[in-house]
Formats: sequence, C-alpha cells, structure tokens
Amino acid sequence: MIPMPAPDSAILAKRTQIQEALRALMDRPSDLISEDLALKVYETDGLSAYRQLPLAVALPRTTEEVARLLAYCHQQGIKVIGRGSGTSLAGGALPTQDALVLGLSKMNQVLDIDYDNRCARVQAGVTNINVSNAVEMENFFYAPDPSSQLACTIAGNVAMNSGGAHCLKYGVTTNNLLGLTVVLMDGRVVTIGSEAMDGDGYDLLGLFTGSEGMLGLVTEVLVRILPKPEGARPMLVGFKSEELAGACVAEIIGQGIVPVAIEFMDKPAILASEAFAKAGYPTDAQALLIIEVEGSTLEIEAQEARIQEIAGRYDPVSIKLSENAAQAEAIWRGRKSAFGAMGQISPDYLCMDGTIPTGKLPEVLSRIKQVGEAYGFQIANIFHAGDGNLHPLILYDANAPGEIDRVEAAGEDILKICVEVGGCITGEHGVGIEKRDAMMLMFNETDLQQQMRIKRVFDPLWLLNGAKVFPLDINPADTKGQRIAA
Amino acid sequence: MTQSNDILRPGSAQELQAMIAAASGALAIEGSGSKAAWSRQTSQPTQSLTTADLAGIDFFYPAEMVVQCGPGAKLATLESELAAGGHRLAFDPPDYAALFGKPDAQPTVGGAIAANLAGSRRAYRGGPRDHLLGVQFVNGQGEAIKSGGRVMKNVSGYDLCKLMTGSWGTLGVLSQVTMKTAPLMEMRRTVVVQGLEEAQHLAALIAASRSPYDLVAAAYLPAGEAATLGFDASVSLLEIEGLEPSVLYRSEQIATLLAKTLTGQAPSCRNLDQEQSANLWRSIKDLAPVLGQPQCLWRLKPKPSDAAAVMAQLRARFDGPGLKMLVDWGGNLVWLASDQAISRADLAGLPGQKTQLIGSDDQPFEPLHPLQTELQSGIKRAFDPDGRLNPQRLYSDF
Repeated sequence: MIPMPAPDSAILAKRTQIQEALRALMDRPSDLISEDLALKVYETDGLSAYRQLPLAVALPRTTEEVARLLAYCHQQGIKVIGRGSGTSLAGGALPTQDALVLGLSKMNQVLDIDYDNRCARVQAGVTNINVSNAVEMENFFYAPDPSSQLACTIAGNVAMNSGGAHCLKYGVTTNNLLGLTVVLMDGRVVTIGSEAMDGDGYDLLGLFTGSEGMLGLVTEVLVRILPKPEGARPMLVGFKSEELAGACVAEIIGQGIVPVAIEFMDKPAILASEAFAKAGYPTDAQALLIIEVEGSTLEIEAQEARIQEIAGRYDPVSIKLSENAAQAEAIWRGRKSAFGAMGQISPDYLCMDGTIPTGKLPEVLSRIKQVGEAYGFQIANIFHAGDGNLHPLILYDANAPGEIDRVEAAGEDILKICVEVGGCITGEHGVGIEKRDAMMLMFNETDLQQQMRIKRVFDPLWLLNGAKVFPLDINPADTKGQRIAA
Repeated sequence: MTQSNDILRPGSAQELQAMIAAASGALAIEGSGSKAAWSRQTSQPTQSLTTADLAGIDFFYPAEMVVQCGPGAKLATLESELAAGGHRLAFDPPDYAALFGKPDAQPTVGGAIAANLAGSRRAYRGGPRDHLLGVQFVNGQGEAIKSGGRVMKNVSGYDLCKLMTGSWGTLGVLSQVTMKTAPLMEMRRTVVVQGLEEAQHLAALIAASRSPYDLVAAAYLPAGEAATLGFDASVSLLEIEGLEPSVLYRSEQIATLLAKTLTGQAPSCRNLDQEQSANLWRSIKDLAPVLGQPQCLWRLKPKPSDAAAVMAQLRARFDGPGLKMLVDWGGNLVWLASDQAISRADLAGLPGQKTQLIGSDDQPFEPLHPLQTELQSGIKRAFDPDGRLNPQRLYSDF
C-alpha cells in the first residue's frame, strides 16, 4: 500500500470549529459538507483502493467563494485538496483526514462562447463533454477527449493535462487552452493567458497545466474550440502479430498520413472487448488497430485507400471499413468499453499509463508479458499507438490477501520498462499518489528539488494537495515552510 | 572548453554546468546573436556565454515524429536534415536575422525556443511551447536539470518545457532539446483571395478559420505590403495541405464558402501551387513585406474579431508612407512597422498584447500585472537565485 502522511493532530482537534468557520464563509451554508455519511462520497477517486474521509468538503459556486475559503485555510494552516469529478486514476484527488476538499462540481456553467475567435470561457467544474455539447450546434468541439469525458471536469483535465484518443492530431489539454483564472493558496486571484496566444513573460498557463492542483485552484478556463471536420470514420485492421501492427503504424506516420487516432489492442484486450461489446473485432488476430480518419467522404476515402494499401503490406488478418454510422459506433464502443469489459473477466484491474517511443512497442509488450508471468497476473494492453501512450491493465483480485501489494509491484516493474526504453511513467493520468515514488525512475533529487522550489513560489506553506507527485521522503532543501512528514 | 574574446563556449552539457557554477557574476546568454537587438540588454554581464557549440543532432526518428538536438543547432541545418527525412519542425520558426540587421547570423533552435517564436501556422498547428517535448538545462546554480522526455504524451511532474520556452535564457541555459516534428504533406496549396475591402478580408480569415477545411495558415496584406510579394492588390492568403484529393476539394470549398459568406463583394479566388506557397509563407513568417529600415516594429495580438478595428486605429494614428502592416495567425497577430517612432504609450487603448521588436522603448515586452511580477520574480529566484542568467533581459524586476 502507498503510505500517506500522518494528519496534523492540531487541525483534527479543531475539526468541528473549522467546519463551522468554513460554513460561515459559504454563500449557502448547505454547500459545506461535514456529516460523515455525506463526506463518504468524497473519500476516494478513480484509484478506489485508497480511501480517507476529509476534514470537510466545500462546494463553492464562485471564484470569490473559492478565494475566501483558501484565504481562511491559508491563515489557519489547513490543507486543501481540489477535486473535479474524482475520476483520477492516480489518486490525484485522494483526501487526507486533515484537509478540506474543495469540489468544483457546482461551478459547471459555460460562461461565454466566441465562435469567431474560436474560444469558450467555462467554469472549471464543467464536464469535458459539456464543453463540446455547448458548441456542437455551430459545428465546433473541444478536442481533448479522455475516456472519462462524460464525468471528468475541465478543472481536472487542466490539473492532469489530460489527453484522449484523438491527441495524435489535436494535442492534449495544454495545447488546447488559452487562459485560466486561478485562486492562489493565499486567496489572491490571478488571471493567466488570454485570447492572444503566447503572452510575454513566463508561460504560467503551461506551468499550471499538469501541475496536479498543487500550485493554485483553477476556477475558470478559456478553452480553444475547433471547427468539427465534416465527418470521421474508424477502420479496423487485425494482424497476425504485435510486431506487424507496430510496423504498420510506423509506416502510416512515416508516409505523412497522420490519422486523428490510432488505437492498438492486444489479444487479451480484443477478446475481453469482443465478449463484452460484440463490436465485430477479429478474435483470430493477435493485435488490432482502430484507425480513424476525418474529413469529407471524398477525403476519408482517399485516406482509407492509402492506409489499406500500407496495411496490406503487413499481412493483415482482416481489414474492416465502417460502412455506416452504426458500424463506426460499434468499432469505438468496443474500444471505449474495453476497461469495463475487464470487469467481466476479473474482479479488479490496475490501469497503468506509461508512454513509450512507438517503435519500442513489440519489445515492451513482450517484456510486459514476462512481468505478468513472473507475478502470475494476466495483463491486457491498450495503446494509443500514434502517440506512444500505453495502458497495460493488470487483472487482479483486491480481496485476495497481499494481492494489492503484488499488483503495485508489477505495475512499478512495467513503469521501469517504459522509462528504460526512453518513455515516461505517466502519459495522461498524472502522478497523484500512485506514481509518487516512481518519479525517482525518471528524475533525480536535483530535478525534483527544482520542481519543488516552483511549488513553494505559489504555496510556500505546502498546503495545496501536498501529498501528491513528489516522494514524501524528499524534503525541500531550503524550505522555510512546514513540510508534511512521511 | 574554449575561451575567446571572453565569450564562454561550452562544448558539452558538463562544460556548460561547470561554467555556470564557476560564474562570478551575470552571464549574457546567447545562441547566434541573431535577436540580440530585440530584448532588453542583460544587466551588467561579466561575461557572455554562447550555446553555439552545443549544436549536434542526436537523433531524428520520422516514424515517431521526434528530433533531439543541442540548442546551438542552426535552424537551417535542422530543417534541411528533417526535410531529407520528409519532415519539418512543427512550429515553423521564423528567421528574424535580417530584420535585426544581422543577416549573417544564423538563428538557432535554442533561440527560437527561448523567444518562443512560431511562424504563420501558430494559430492552427501550435508554437514552440506546444512541440517541445523535453529539455535538459543548467539552472543559475549550476545544476543540470531535466524535464519531459522524447514522447508526445507525458505528465510526469511539472512541465518545465513550458517555462523554458519564451523565458529568454533567464531561468536556465538549454543543453538539449527534444521536439515534435511534422511530416511534410503530399500537397500544399494557398487560396489567394482578392477583390475585397480590408474589413471583408479580415472577415474572410475568420470565416475560413471557422470552417471545417483545416487551414494551416491565414494572413492578410494591405495593397502596398502585398505588392512586395508580387500581388496587384490587397490579399488574404489561406493555406491548406494534405493528400492531393483532399487539398483540391478543400480549396474549392473555401472559395465557395467565401463567396457565400461575405456580403457585398464577390471575392476572386485563385490557387498557388506547392513551390509558390512555400516561398510565399517563408516571406510572410520572416516579415519580408514589412522589412526595410523601420524606426519601429511592433507585434500586436488582438482577437481576430478586433483585428479590423485595430488596423483602422493604427492607420488613423500613424498614417504615412512608412506605415506598414501585416496580419497573420488568422487575425490573432498584427505586425506594425513605421518610419516614425511609435512608443507603447502611443498604442494605448488598443486591445491585446503589444511587443516591441524594434524601437526605443526600454521595455519591449508587455508589462506585467503586479501579482504576475511577484509570481514571475519568484519563479526566476527558484531557478536562478543569484541572478546569473540574463538578469533583467526580459523585465527590469528580474
């Protein structure tokens, strides 16, 4: 199990008093939650093996309310953990007992849409899909599309720099933002970025994106919206081996064709998805690619013809174009339900999130197989093949004694492989608590001290989501503020 | 390790680290010096340090769309290496050496990143900040630091690549950069739109940018500026690229769309082929249409919907034979050049960021809000507490 810091007993001793003081700061007293039963909703996130009731939960509705809450917590030395919808798979929103959870779920309004300038201003608690929904009538969309997009918030996307299946063409969150309104831990509000790209001075927009809610709380976001292509269509190609599928991806990109998405599934993932979604996946294939291209019908057909020609050189088991909307939907349904499908064949799974140089895929898959065999776990692999983001799903049973420790050890072994071949420990889920210690696989203490000095510029008392990202046993070298103890 | 004319020239990351650790005062950091005339000058440097010798290309993998090199690599060298493999730098950096009166200085990749310089594709394909995947640098304490990596998706720790981009060497001196590349497309074509009034031209940029036809660049040139590129009247230029059937289809659709959308005048549209397109856009990103010997050059960043009003204002305030303007980034960028001196105060009231490239204001960069100054000064101290790296080059406060 991943250790968490011991709570601040002085804060715990004043629990009721603090809850009342926080309630008094709210526009509506009922937006402060302090009953244990109601707090339970917030005790965990997408990394549900870890649970902890927080000190209290506040659900503010305005930037001003957030500013009041943070100023008070800053003054009182109370830790704060920001939360969107709690879909983090890395424990990014996991509470501690002595912390206020500040949930943004009530800040869910789209404030302004500006089609001519291709941007929209939204409150940070709006869900990812609702940004796209709000602009769909004018044939626009918001590009980053994490699998959790029905639930996850833009605030969480900013915190984790979320990706999705379509980032090969459109980039990740950081490439699709123009500005932020941020409340600093001391309650001051800072506006970052604007409709103008690349403002002078340091790129705080880029720094905040992916900083896991540790530098400030984002309350409003100015997002880039894009005109929708005329159409999009996925195709399925089955291969006799993972190597052939990997080589096919390399040639497609090498030929200058950049599809909007290239998704890879290995045999265990194909079988599980097909059993669950019945999308017509080729169960005789060792590996499968879902390749999506977009444009007008004419453009789609031109790209498909070129891709078919390339795929034909890699001895495909099957090539299946989607001939209508229903078939296209079925192809994506299989992929998007792949995680859920694992529930049919295993009580639990741990979803890893490394990124590897795409050319290393066959080597990495074979080494992951060895890890699975060594620990006795079945592992299915889903891979954003265009951009190298690999999601091995390690199937296990959380109720079996000791199994969680073994699955975490297997996961760390996989991350080691990702780093060894030139990749990284997390492509889109973030570090959270889950990969805190794995940061040392990529960075040395000097690197991390540099990052920690940046945190201290924004949060010198280390109150904001402080038990995340950095290994707990590294103390800032020159800290004057209080540091959580391991 | 070589030392000539007091200029430090590290030949490796280790040498760079040793030189910064041993520095007794402020260092003026540069690449080829092509943009030295732009920013504020480093405050009281004891020595200069150039990254020119950290110029090797470590690898370029077209199938992974990634290149790694030293910051001193010349953009021209790098671009031709990439082109040989069918690729280009995704952020399409401009070459301002001629603009700053140093035609012999060859801009480096480190300089483009330090100044966050993107070409005409910025609004549609991103800038250096979007395509820098990994960095290694030495901070002001002489510590070697790394961030990011060589893969496209990476959220492992804070994104220091973003801080290094556009920080003008004030936070760290790059020793290695890893960037995303983009494949050269089978066909590129520019739709040339003429026969419109200025406001209608700017409306055409917006209409095309709102369309599903996937522009990679969109610019507008008034008649005089357009004449420098061989056009007989004011012109909007819309660039697209991709597979041939797709490009042919989209260029027709764009012409149809503009004829339908723009009221009053019927635009005339024609197409420029691959080579014409490439030359045209090189001239635009390097600012050839506003070159000459301007007294001042400003970069304004309005919203596209404000661009027409901004140009009208600029004309009202500064009209004269030396006034030259160019709109790029689909209306998000307005270049202003003039034979008369124009100060920041003269631009008061115009919307958007304003940056001086040539002129007499001692603060070329957009002034910061006091809270921003406090935070950015803090970031400077977090990287360079003793103020060794380009102090005050960006802002007088740090």
